[in-house]
Amino acid sequence: MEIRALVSAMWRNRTGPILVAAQVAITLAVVVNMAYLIQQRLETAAKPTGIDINNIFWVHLEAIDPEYNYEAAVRADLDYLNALPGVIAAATSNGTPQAFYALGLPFAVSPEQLDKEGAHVARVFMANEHYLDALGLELIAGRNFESSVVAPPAQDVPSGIAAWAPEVIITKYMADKLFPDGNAVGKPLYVGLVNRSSTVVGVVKLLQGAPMPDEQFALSNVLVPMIPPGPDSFYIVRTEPGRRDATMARVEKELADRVPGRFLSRIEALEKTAAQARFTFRSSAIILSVIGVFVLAVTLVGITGLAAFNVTTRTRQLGTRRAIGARKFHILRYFIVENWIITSVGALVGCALALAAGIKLSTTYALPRLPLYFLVAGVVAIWILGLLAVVVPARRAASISPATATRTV
Amino acid sequence: MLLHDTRLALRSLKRNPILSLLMIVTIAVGIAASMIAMTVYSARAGHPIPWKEDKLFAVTMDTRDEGPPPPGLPLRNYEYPPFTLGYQDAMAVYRSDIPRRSVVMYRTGQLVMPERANIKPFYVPVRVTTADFFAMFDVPFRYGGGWPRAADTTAEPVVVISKYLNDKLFGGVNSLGREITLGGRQFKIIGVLDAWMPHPRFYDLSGGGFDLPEDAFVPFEWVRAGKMFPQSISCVRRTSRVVNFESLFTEECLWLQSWVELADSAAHARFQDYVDNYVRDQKQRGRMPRPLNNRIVNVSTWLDMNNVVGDDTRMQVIVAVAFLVVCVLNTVGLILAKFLSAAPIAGLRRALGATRLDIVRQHLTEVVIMGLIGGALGLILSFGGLRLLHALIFSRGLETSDNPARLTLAQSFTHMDFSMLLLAVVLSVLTGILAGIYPAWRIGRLAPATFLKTQ
Amino acid sequence: MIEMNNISKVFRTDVVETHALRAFSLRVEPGEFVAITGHSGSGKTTFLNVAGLLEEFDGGTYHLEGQDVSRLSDNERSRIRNEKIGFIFQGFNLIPDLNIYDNVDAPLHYRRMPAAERHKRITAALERVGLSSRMKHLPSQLSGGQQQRAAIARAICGSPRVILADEPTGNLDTTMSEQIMELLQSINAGGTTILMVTHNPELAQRAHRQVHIVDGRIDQIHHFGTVQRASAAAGASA
Repeated sequence: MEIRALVSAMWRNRTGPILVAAQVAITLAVVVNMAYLIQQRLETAAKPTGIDINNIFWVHLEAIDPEYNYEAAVRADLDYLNALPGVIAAATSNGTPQAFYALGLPFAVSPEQLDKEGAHVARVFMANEHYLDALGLELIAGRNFESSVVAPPAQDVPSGIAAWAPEVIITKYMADKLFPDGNAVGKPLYVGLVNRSSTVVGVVKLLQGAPMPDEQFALSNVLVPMIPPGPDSFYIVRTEPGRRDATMARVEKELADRVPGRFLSRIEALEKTAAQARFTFRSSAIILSVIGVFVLAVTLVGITGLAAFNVTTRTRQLGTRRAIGARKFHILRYFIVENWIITSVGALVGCALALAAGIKLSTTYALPRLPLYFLVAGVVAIWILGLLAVVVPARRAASISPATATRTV
Repeated sequence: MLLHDTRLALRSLKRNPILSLLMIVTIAVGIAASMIAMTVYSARAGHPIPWKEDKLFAVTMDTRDEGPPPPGLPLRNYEYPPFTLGYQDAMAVYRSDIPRRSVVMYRTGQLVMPERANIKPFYVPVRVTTADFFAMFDVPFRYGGGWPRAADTTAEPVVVISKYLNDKLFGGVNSLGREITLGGRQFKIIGVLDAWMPHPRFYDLSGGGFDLPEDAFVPFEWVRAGKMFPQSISCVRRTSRVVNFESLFTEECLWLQSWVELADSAAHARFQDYVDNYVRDQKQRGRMPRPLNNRIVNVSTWLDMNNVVGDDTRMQVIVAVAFLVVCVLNTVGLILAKFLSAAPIAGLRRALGATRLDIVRQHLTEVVIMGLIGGALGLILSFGGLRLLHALIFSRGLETSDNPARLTLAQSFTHMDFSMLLLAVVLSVLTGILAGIYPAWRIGRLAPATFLKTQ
Repeated sequence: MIEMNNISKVFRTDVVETHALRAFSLRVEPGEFVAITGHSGSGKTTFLNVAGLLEEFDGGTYHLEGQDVSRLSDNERSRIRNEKIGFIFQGFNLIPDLNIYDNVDAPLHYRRMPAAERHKRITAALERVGLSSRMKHLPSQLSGGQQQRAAIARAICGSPRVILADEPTGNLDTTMSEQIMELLQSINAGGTTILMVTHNPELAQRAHRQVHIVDGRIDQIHHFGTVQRASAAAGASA
C-alpha cells in the first residue's frame, strides 16, 4: 500500500489518529521522565556504601543517674563488646552512617581557601581506633588512628567540636576534591567553626554517609578520633557473617546492666537503618512506576480501540480490498503501517514534550539532563507497544471474508 | 427531558457493554489516580491556621555571608534568608513592643523519668519557648494553661504537657500540680493540652513539617538553666567559632524560631521597619553583610518558602493529571467511535424531528452519565489505593510508637475529606463533559440525510 | 474459461442448513457475456462469490482457465482474484477515503506493478470510462453512475480475463444503467468474459446467454446470441 494514499486517507478521518497521537505523546513524555527519575532513585538507593552493612548493628544507651561515669562506662563497654565471640570490632561514635543524622562542618585546605572559595561541607563522624573495622571500611592510604590520639569525651557537643583532634581520616572523594594533586596523607586540613588544622593521616576508599543523590553530600565524610560527649553512649558493632542477630540479642540482654544508672533505648541492625533511609526513594519510585504502568495500559487500550473501530467501520472496504486481490498480509500491513505512522507522529511530539519536561525535572531535582538514550528507548518501547496493541484488531481485519464485498447491507 | 435523555443514554450504554465498560474503567482509573495524588497533595498543602492568616508572621533575617552557597550544601531558593535566627537577633525581635504577641523558641529532646517503675525512662521532644506560644497558636488546653511572661526570664520550673504524655504518665486524669522529671530536673505541671495537631506543624518545619507537636513545653530561660541543647543548629558564617555551650549565645549560629502576632497591616509595616532598622544597625557593627533581606511572612508564604508540599507530591499530581488527560483523550476517541457507529440512529432521530441540540444533549448526557459511573468507580478505587498507600508507606514505623496521635497523623495523609469527595464529583462530571463535548458536537453536526441512505 | 461441475455450497447455523448451491454445473466460454438471474435468495450471489473465489465451496470441482481452484491457499486465491478477475459491485464499493485515481490504483498495487506502468493503465482505464477529469475526486463527490464507472475502471485496469458484476445497475436509474450496460458490452466486445448477476430480465437479454437459478440450481438457460469475436479454441455454445 502506498504511504501517500494511506496518509491522505488517514487525514480525511484525522480525529481518531490525532487523539491517539496525543495520547502517545503525553505517555511518552510522562513515561520517559518517570523512568529516568525512577532509575535515578533506584540507582541512588543501590549505590555502594563502602560499609559492611549486613553484619553491623548499633546500640544506644541512655544514662539516667546523675552520678553515672560516662567515660569509664564507655571503656568498659568497648572492652566487653570487642571481647564478645563473633564480634570483629566495636567502636563508639556520635551516630551511624546511612541515617540522616548529620553533624556537618566546613572544611578547606587553608583558612584563605575557606574565605575565598568557600568551604567544603562534610559530615563528621567521631571515631576511635576500632571504627574502620567496625564499619568494614577500606583504608587505601595512610594509617588508622592510634588509640592514644582518641580524645576523651567533652562536656557537650560544642566543646567536643572545639576540642577537635589533631588527626583526621577522610574519604577518597573528599581527598580528590580538596587535594587534586593527589596524596592527601600528611597534608593539613583546616576545619572551619573550630578554627584549627588537623593532619590527614588516612584515606578510606568509600564511605557513604547517607543515600543521597548528590555525591558531594553523600561521600564527603570526615572521621575524627574522639569519644563523643556523653552521657548517652552509642556503639557500632560488626560481627562475623551470620552472627549478627545472635550477638544483637545477647547485647540487648547484657549490655545495659553491666553498668548501673542507664538503660538501653535502642538497638538496630544497620541493614534496617539503611533500608529506612532508602524508603522514601523507593516508595516514591514505586508510586511513579505504578502510574507509569497505568498510563501505558490506557494508551494501549486507546490504540487498540481506535484500530478496532477502524476495522468495524471499514469492514466493507476491507472486504472489497480482499476481493480485488489484497492478501491477508496486505491488510495486516495496512493496519500496522497506519498505526506505526500514528504512534510515530505521537512519539515525535512526545520527544519534544519529554525534553521540555526533562529540563524542568532536572532543575527541580538537581539531576543531570535527561539522557537521550532514554528518549530513544522510550520511542522504541512506544513502537513495540503500538505494534502489540494493533495486532489483535489487525488480525481481525485480515480475517474479514472477501465475500463481505458482495453483501448489500 | 432529562429523564428521557438518561433513559436513552442507559440503553445506549447497554448496547456496547464491553466498550462502555472499557470507557468507564478508563475514566475510573484516571480519576482514581488524580484523586489519590490530590488527596496526598491536599493533606500537605492545607493551611493549619487559616483564621490567623493575616495576623501570624514568621520572622527571618539574612545573617549569612556574602557570596554563593558553599559547595556540599544543595540549597534550593538560596535567595531566602535562613529559616532560623541566632540568639542575639531573636532577642532583638522579642524586645520589640510592636507585635501583640511574640514567641522565641526551639526544639530539644529531654529524658522523662516516670515515677511509676513499670515505665522505662524515655525521650520526649520538648519545646523551649516564651510564654505567648499557647495564645498565639491557639493551642487548646484540657486542663490549666500556660505560664506568665515573667516566668520566661526566671526559668520557673513549670511545664505544659501534651495529652499523650498526660495519658501515658497519669492515665489521663487532671495532673495539674503534679511533678515530672525532665532532663534530670523537677517540673510542676501547670497545663495539659487537648489533642492538637497543626498540619503541617507550621511553627517549626524542620524535618519536613509533618510531625507531631512536642510533648512538653517549658519557659525559655531553661535553655541556659537546663543546658537544653537544641536539636539542630546551623552556624552560617565563616567567622563563627564554636567552643562551648555559651557559643550558642555569642556566635553566628542559628537555632531559634521567631514568630510574631501583628494587629494589622500597619503594624506589619512598622514591624518590618523595626527589623530593617535593627539589621541596618547591625551592618554598622560589621554583621549581616548581605543586602537587606528580612522577610516577615504570613503562614501561607512561610509554608511555600519551606516547600512543605514537596517536589515529589507536586510531581505526583502533575503525573496523575497528565494520566487523567490521557484517559480523557482515550475516552474521546472511544466515544467518537461509538457515536459514529450509531450515527444512523441519530440520523433517524433527526429525520423524525429531533433538533441538533436534542442530539447533542442526548449524547452528552450519555457521556456525563458514564463520567459519573466512572467517577463513582474511581472513588472506590481511590479509597482502595489510599488504603494501600497508607499500609505500604504512611503507616511505616507506627508499630514502634505507643502514641495514638501518630496513627492519626499518618492517616491524615490518605484521608479523603468532604471537599475531596466534592472534587471527585466535579472531576468526573468535567471528565464526562470534556470527553463528550466534541463527539456529541460531531454527531449533532451530521446532516440527517447522511445516514438514512444506504451507503 | 469457467468450468463448474456439481458445485455445492451449504451455509450452516445452529438451527438451519441452507443449500445455497446444489449440484451446480456451468461452463462459460472465453469472451462470453453471461447473465445470471434469479429471485433473491436463489443463490445467484453465492454463485458469484464462488466463481470469483470470494468464498470456498463444499463439493464439486471448479476450473478457472483450466486451473483447479478448489484447493488453493488464501494467498493464491488472492493472486488469482487480483490478476484474472475484475469485480463490479452493486454498491460500487469504492474506498471512501481514497480519490478515484487511488481507488483504481488499489488492485495494481497488490500486484507490485512498477509505478509508470500503473500510471499508464490507470489513466487509460479512466479515459475509457470517461472519468479522466475526475481522478482527484473522492467517491462521495461523484454521482452514482460516475462511481460505478470508476469501479468499472478499477475492474478493467488490471486486464482481467473475466469480470464478475453483481447487480451493477441495481442502484442506478435507467439512463445511468444504460451507460453502464453499454460500457460492459464494449468491454465484452474487447474479449473479456463477463458474468453479470441481475434480476432485470431486460438487461439479461442483452447477454449472450441467460442462466436462471432457482433454489441453488440452474433452472433454465436462454440463448440470445453468440460471441462476436469467437476464438478458434472456444466452440461457441450452440
